[in-house]
Amino acid sequence: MTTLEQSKKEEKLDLLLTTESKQRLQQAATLAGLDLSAFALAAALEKADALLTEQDTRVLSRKQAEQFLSLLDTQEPTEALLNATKRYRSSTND
Amino acid sequence: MTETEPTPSKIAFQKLSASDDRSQFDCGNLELNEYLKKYARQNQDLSLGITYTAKREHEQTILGFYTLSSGQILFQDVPKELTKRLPRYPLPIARIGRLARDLSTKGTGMGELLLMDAFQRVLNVSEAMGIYGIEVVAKDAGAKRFYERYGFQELLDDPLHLFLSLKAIRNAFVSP
Repeated sequence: MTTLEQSKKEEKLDLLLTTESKQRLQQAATLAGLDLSAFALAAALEKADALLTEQDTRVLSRKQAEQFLSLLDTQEPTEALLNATKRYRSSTND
Repeated sequence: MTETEPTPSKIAFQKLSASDDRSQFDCGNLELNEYLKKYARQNQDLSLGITYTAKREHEQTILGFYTLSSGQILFQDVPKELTKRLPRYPLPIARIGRLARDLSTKGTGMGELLLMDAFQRVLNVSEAMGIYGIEVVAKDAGAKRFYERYGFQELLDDPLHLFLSLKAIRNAFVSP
């Protein structure tokens, strides 16, 4: 993702921040050996990736994993599910 | 659906499109109304979830919607021997989010039809994508009871994330 961003920078992001925040970012960027803009972008992308992964990944404990696997083997639909599929078929055009 | 009503027209489910009028939709929950009005299209464009709508055939009014997205299940502290035996790991799942119906449809079983349409769509791609289960997030106890009727189950210590196996869904849909 990062390399792609670097190869084709066509977008701009403006943000307002306090002098204090900017100084802190500048210090950290210097430590990381990056200019401020590259540092801010890398940090924001890192945070974004973490959030995006989190939102589509569910991490289960060992006990939950066992429950989950046995649940996946459930073959038998409930009565309500069976009836609902029939009603769905008669309510739609498929 | 009461006995006295005339034969209802068929329901058509479609992917939310830019031309859909979302301004009139009211499911009674402000957050879900706002989602449909402001964020559903945006999330669709960002591939964070596709929204499908229910309308009566040849009509434009949105009667309900749900969002489908893909997800995966990771296990913590589970021995490698176990995960190796799985057909795929992390396990791919489908997720149904934000299922809601307009207040005007109350008592007609619209929520159920929306859920069945979501199941049908997941079934259609499950073979090709190897999807093993469906996850829903129940926003409250009422929603939880609704999902449990169709076989969704909670896992230990996580009462509002519910799961259902694709096998049970497939068996329900293939039964005559």
